[in-house]
Amino acid sequence: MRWCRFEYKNAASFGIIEDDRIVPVTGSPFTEYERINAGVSLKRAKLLAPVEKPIFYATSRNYKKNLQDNIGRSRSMFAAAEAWTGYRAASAITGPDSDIVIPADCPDDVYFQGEVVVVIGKKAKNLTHDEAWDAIFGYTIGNDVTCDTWATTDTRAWRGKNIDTWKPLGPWIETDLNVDKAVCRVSLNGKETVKWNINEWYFSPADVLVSITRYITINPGDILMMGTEGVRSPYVKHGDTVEIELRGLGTLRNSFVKSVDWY
Amino acid sequence: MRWCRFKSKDGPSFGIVEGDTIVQVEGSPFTNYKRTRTKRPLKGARLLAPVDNPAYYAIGRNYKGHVEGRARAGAPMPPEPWAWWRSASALTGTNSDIIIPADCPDDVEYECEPVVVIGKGGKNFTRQQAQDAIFGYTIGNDVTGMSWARRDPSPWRSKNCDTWKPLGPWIETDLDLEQAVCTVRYNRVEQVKWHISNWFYSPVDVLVTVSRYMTLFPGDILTLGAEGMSPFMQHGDIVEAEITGLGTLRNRFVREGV
Repeated sequence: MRWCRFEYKNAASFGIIEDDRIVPVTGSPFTEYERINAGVSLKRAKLLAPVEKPIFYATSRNYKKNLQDNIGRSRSMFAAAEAWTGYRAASAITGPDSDIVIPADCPDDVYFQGEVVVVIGKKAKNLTHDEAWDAIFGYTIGNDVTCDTWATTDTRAWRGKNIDTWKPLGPWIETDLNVDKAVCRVSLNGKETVKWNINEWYFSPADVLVSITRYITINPGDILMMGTEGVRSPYVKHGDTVEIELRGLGTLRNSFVKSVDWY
Repeated sequence: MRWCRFKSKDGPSFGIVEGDTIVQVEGSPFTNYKRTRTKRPLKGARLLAPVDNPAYYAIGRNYKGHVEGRARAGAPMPPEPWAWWRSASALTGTNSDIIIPADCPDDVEYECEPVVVIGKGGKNFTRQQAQDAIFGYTIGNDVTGMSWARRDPSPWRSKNCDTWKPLGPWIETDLDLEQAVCTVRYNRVEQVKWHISNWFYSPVDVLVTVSRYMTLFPGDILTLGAEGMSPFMQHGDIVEAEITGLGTLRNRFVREGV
């Protein structure tokens, strides 16, 4: 099943995607919902990020080449002994086919990271491994846009990662993804930059959720970003388009725009 | 005006504190609200954190004694009021327990802090807009596990375990900042007392910087940093933070499995 959020009658609504139509619902997949007797063309719909104000967990250095690349760049980087998480700001989330805006004062070393994103379906704490897999509602795609300079100079990478629009998410949630078959492919302006089997992670979504829920209650609609593979992407320029395709799910596409100070 | 959130018969609800009474409202102070006819005594009410799923901004080093204490541990003062986040999932209310997980090292500290509540959202605030965006003030405790903070690749469990972010007891919209004094008591013994306006960075300084990059929303919060240093918390310890003209946030530390 495919769940999206989209603009419907001048408001944000959840919807179920059936072929090339979206069936709007009242409520949400995370609480209760009812199908509305209507349909909207998927092609013409304005899709939004498929979750609303989640707690946004993010693990990283979770794939081999990416971990090695990170260790090569910084002596303070190391392989984690157990699954852990960081956070991203929900305020930075944007939807598919929307612009990623680089502020005028931002250094010119912004890069992109295609990632698989897990969507939580249950309120839970102290999960076992099996329970953790069952707590997963579905999957979507995220782009963990980062400014190299600010991620290094700033305390806790606040602007380095969490500027408005720097966390595209979408295009929708797929509840039936076969993670053992899913391949993620990232391209810049149509040219492939990296491709990997998503289940080659060091820590699976269940590993990370078991760790998190030892200390923290997760809730329906929360999300967990799983980390990217490959070496650092090229730095982006104004007008660049990044596509992140997850086979069996879809493609998250966004373009970068450099903001200009007019005063 | 004093705004609280409390456990009503209909679930979590916002309320207005008037003397020793809570007037239940429909809606929220951050959108639209309507006073209802339902009232209850403040005494005995289960107060919740006075905001719901906020973006929770934090600046760490903002008062002299705390900056000097942390500097001895090698943490530098940032050149601008840079923000980071705490997780809204860790919020709890006043008079509730702070649970220390069984496997948590024995070096958990409190950091009691004045907290700004945003009333008007926006981006690229001028100083005047930032001033006007402030709805009121409350009190927070930025509980921290020091070993985890040093060892973990990110401050996830060191700062954001369930119940590690007490907030309350309510929001005061008419606080006189120049007069307001914050006092922290540990098992009823005063530990530190300071004028909250003795900050390095004012709320306006922080909001101007943050809103250059991030959109703020009504109901978001900003914790302003602690003064002084904390002992390590033991099972049963009680920490109180009082701001004159506002009230007292009071919580007990409980170790899981004791």
